[in-house]
Amino acid sequence: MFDLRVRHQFNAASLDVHVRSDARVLALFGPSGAGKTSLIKALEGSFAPEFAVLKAAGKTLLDTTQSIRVPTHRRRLGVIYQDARLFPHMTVDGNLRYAEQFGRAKKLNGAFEEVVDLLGLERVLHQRPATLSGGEAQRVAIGRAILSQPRALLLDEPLAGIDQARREEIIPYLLRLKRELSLPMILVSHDLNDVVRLADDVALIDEGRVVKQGALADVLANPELSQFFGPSQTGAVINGHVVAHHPDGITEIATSAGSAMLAQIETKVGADVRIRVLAKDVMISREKPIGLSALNIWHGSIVSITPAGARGVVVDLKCGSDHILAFVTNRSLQALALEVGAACWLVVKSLSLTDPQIS
Amino acid sequence: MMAEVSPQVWQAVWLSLKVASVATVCALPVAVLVAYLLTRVVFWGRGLLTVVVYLPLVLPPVVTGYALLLMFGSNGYVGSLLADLGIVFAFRWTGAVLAAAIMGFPLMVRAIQQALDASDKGFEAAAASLGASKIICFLTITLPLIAPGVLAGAILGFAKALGEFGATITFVASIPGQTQTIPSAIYNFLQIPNGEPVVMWLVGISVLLSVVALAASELLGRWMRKHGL
Repeated sequence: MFDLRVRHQFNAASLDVHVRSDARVLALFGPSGAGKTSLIKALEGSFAPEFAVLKAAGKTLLDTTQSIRVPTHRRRLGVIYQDARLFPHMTVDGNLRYAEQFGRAKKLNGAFEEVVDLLGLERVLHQRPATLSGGEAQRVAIGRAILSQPRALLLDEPLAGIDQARREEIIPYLLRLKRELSLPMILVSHDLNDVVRLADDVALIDEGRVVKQGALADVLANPELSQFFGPSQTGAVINGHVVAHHPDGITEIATSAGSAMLAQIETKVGADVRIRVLAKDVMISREKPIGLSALNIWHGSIVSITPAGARGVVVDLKCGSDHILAFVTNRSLQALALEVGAACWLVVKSLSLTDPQIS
Repeated sequence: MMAEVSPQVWQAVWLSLKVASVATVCALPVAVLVAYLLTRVVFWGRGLLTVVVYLPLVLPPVVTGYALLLMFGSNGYVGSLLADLGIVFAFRWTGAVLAAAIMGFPLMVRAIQQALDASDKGFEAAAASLGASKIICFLTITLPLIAPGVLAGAILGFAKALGEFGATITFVASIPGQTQTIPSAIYNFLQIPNGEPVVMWLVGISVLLSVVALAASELLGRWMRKHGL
């Protein structure tokens, strides 16, 4: 859906990236100033790189080698900016209608009422943008972009200016969008939590280069990237589905690694879910642990051991068809005599469920 | 008292209002266009255009008036061409309009430029991403957002046109009923014995017009703010 090649020499930095993805949602993840925004601006049309071949949803928007340059207003990319950018001289309704008139010819992604309903905008339709909360404004911006009938959505740090609690006013809607519209999206973020919740593919960008790209689960389970993610964020993502809600308040989720138990969640039985297993929350035992209060004890074998920092390593374990990463100190590595191929037990101290997913 | 008011006073007032209104209405769209070019478009000769636009602000008005006479007078380069088309500026009220428009123009451009500089270009980018072409974007987003600046420019230009003296009297002289606006009438009546009562009338009307213009702009500004502009 996206094939983006950009090369540009800035005064002090250079950008040289080639990002490809056929997934529904591609995330560009990396620290601020890594080049994500330049890439988005080139795609959007507000920045002209020295060299670029940009394709989105099958359409070439910019090709400097063939002098193809689709003007910004004909690119049909719905851009969601960090600062929403709702037109202050129009009501919410006016903002949405404004976009609708440009998208009128092609009713691909739902009519006005559907979009209003999808994003829960009914209540604020007659308000001015200045009176909206950050979450509401961002939802209006998303609705406005969709009504212009874009070929793709570009979400440029849409959650960066919004505190954690308010994010819950947006992320569930973005997930709904992903489920209900066949609209490819690029999510730019420097927050891994957002990426894990929304993306299918991820491209890690740092200092103007692509560090790694691929399916989210593969990239996050790559032990060599623990330096990139840092000790608190390194961790695999595994897929599963809800099996049962037990009467004692525990929800059981089947994964290829085994049953995962977590505090009761709302998700319906049978729904697909994504679980994030942080490497710092995984303990390793050579013997089957007995008498532990931890609910999630899985069995696996060591695939690789990768140094991570001065004191420890990242152990990559295969459990069923999933990979799980665990941080282990050098001392424990010695004490347990862990080596590639060794079978061991994993004790997962906590699991965080992301959101219901559609696979 | 009323009986003493010379018909020339009302002539001058009426002419001044006519000249200032027509000058403002004609110059404003051009000022918006020029301000947009100067702030949003990079082109060769931008510096030159800036100089030409702002020149009347710094030149002695008499010089501007004389330049207009040279160019738009009956024997001027442009004047003689336009005369063939039936358009005459020299010693007509239309000439007063031209002088007033040119003198007010830099003030209009400056006010609109300031509004354009202050307005967030992000809204224009957002409109473009939704599918708005440059011209649609200008008419539906930029122009409404800078409306208070355009209004301020119009008020400044109108006030300047009402008060314009040097360039007007140099270019079109001071012919009662033709080109004698309030300032040139005041000047005329100061030159003749017992002219003071008429001068006082004209001064009073000038002050009144200025107050009304300011009040109107304030009210319009409030209305715009109330409607989110």
